[in-house]
Amino acid sequence: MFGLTTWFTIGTVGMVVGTVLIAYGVTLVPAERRRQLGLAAIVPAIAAAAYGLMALGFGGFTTADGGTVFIPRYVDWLLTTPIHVAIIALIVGASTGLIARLATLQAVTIVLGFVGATLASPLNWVLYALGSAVFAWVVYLLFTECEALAAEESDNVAALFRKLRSFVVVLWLVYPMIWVLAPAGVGVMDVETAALVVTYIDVVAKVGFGLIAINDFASMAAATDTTASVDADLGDGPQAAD
Amino acid sequence: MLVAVVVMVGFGAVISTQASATLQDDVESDLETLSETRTNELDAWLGSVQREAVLTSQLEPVRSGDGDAVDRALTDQLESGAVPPNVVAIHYLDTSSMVFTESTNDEFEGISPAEMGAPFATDPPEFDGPNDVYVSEPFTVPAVDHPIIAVVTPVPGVEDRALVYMTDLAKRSEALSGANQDTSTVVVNSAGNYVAHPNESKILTDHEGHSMNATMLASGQTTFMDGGETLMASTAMETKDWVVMIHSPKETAYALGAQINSDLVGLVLLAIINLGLVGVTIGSNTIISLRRVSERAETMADGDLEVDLATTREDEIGALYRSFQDMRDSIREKIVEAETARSDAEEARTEAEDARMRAEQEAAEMESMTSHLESKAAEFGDVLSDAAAGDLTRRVDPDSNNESMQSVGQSINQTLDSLEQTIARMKAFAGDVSAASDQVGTNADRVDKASEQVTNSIAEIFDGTTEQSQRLESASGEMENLSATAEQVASAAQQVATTSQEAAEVGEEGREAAQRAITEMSAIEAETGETVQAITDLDDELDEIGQIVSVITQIVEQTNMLALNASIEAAHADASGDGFAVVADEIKGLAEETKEAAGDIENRIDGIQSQASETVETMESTSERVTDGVSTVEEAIDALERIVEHTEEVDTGIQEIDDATEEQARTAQEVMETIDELTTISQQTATEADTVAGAADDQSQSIEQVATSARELHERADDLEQALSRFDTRVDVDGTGTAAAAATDDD
Repeated sequence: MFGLTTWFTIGTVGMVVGTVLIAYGVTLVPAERRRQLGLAAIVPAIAAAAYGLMALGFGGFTTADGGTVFIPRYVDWLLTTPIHVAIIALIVGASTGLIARLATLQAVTIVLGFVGATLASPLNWVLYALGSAVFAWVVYLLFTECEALAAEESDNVAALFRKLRSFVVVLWLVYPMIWVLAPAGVGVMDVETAALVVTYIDVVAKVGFGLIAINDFASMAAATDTTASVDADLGDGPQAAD
Repeated sequence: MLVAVVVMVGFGAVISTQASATLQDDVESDLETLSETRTNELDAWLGSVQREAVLTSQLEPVRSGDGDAVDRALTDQLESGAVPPNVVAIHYLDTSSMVFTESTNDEFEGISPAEMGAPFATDPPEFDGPNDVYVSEPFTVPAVDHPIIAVVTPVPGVEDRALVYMTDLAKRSEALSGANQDTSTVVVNSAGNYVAHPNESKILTDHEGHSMNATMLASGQTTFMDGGETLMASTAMETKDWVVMIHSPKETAYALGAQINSDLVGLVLLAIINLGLVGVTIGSNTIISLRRVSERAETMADGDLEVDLATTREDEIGALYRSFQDMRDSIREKIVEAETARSDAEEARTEAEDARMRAEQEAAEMESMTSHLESKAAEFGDVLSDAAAGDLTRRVDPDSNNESMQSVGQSINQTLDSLEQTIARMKAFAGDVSAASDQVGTNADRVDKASEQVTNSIAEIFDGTTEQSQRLESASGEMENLSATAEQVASAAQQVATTSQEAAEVGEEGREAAQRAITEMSAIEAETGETVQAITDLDDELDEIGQIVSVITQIVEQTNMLALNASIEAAHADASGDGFAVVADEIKGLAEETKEAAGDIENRIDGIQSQASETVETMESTSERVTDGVSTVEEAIDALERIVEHTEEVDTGIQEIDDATEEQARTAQEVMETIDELTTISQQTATEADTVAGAADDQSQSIEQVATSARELHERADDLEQALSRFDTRVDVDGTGTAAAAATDDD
């Protein structure tokens, strides 16, 4: 009744809707932040393309140990996860070098995961461990160098940075779990269920990321306006008292 | 959050375990049921083939032995579909020649099955009766392309004929296995060969793997085995010693469990994702919001009340913001109020400053006024000082910007005018007084001298009178002494008289007492004589008693003797005299006691006689002494009588002295009264003199005072004149001044 195609179709629809929402949201934020949010809108667009391909039945690839690996999914991840990491780093104004380092490490994580998924045990576990280590490195950089940069930013920006970082770190930690449980790892989960879970988390992570970013930037802009008007109101008070 | 994840994973694991266990049970029972079903099917089929063979063998045409009839009957039987499925051919076998004489398949007619290797031909079975059926083991023959099971039964009524039912084992196997693709059904005979197998080529080959065969199972029994990759249920057949085995690959059998597990894992992962999502968005939003609120609050605490507290949130954080905003606004209001109060205070302070300035200005004005007044006062002071020094000609300048001062100046000038005039008049008056007092002084001196002479004369009179009075007083004192002495003598004589009278009375009493003593003594003497007589009588009586006692003593001795004799007599007598002897002893004892008592009395009488003679002697000496005492008392009486006589003579003398003394005292009293009168007169004289002297003194002093007053008046007048001379007065004040000056000049 429900199969891979169903999940991939739902994923495609979710990504398309998310792309539209984020694209609309980008028009609401101040111009200087639009470039970063434009990137956030590209992410679900790429994912929508990947899910579209998979829904149409392209990209399935049977691995050495009989599992199925979907190449479009890994291509999607290879492009989108470095973009997310880059956006987080950009929010706190990280240097190009740091951004490049983070994006590269994140891309390496995906590549190792992909290769690991195609290989049979025990080689897949070696690559899994390597991929996990690289991802841990990414997380480490986010919590040290980027955190140091965030401390110099305004409260609102630092808050957004921390929120997105927590969002990404927490949700992305679920991917290795899926990897382990799916046919690529121990295989407790079958391909269909894994596809369902991955689709869900993909939609949530990609669309949610963009929406959170837009929401915070929009409320930041609104708060700035409100503060200005409140300040204007209050500015008259003490002078009148004098 | 982590706890929620752990709970979810744990719960998923429990569900998975339970579902898997149930599923395994289900799979096992399903397989066993399937195995039994297949066995039953196979049993039923084989049974039906056997029954059909027996029935066909009993058909009339078959029993006839006629070749065509048999052939037709068998063909009809086969084509009519009355035979069980998978029966492919029926042969009519000549068991003696072992050749198929007739067959539903014409190709087999005339063929010897033994040549083809059919086991029922090579090893012909023995039949117990017409209904006996032989079922061959599976075999293949070259003529057919499938394995065969042959069912052979003898044809009754015909010698050496049998019916052979040939079945297609491959088809049968397909029928057995075809129902379920997930499972494969095989049948293994007692020799360990496949009787049926989905893979046709495997039929009749050796059974692989486990050593399951019919010997291990009783007929109809089912068992279940887990062979690792595959699951297997086996059932032994009832009609044949074959075992039906159902093989099912584990993966397929447990596919449902795996699917459930997979879905559960997926569900848990989705839940974790959602939890993470909620935690990250809501959690971090809340943390960030709270951190923001706390930063704002700290900013406020640091004193920055301009901090932005505006929010559009409607939740608790929004409420918190609004609370802070209210608090901030209220603090702001308080600050504004405090600042207003401070500015009010400053205003008040400025006013106070102004007031102080004004006060200082006024003070300065007051100061200039004061200095003006001071200079004016100093000027006035100078003029007044000069006036005090005597210069009354000066006047002050009353002009001043102070009205009071001006009026003071004018008053001073008026005062000075008046004073100048008054002083001039006083100067004149002082001169007059001085002249008058001088004359009074001279007259007073003269009166003084006269009164001094009077005073002296009176003093002499006073002295004389005083001396006289003193002498009279001393004479009066002496007379008083004399009178007192006489009175003392009189009283002493009176006392002596009284004493002597008392002595006479005492002497009389003594004489009377002595007289009574003599009487008493005479009585004693008489009584003593009587006593002596009585004692002498007693002595005589005692002598008589002594004689009586001597008599008693003699009687006792005689009695004693009698008793002795009696006892001797008793001793001489025999036993009858014993009682007598006892009486004699008793008497003897009494006599001795009496003798002792008599001796005792005698002794006591002797004691009394000696005491009585002593008493007599004592009485006699007492009598002598009483006689002596009487004579002594008589002498005392004589002496007392003489005392009384002498005392009476003394008393008479004293009475005479007393009378003389009283007279003397009376005379002295009269002298004294006379002297007292004289004294009174002289004292009056002295007093009078003293009074005159005091009057003269007073007069003298008065005159002295007059003189002194006159002198003082003169001096005062002089002083006044001198004092007034300090004041310079203008001569042209009025006419009086000139007169005063003239009067002063006169002095």
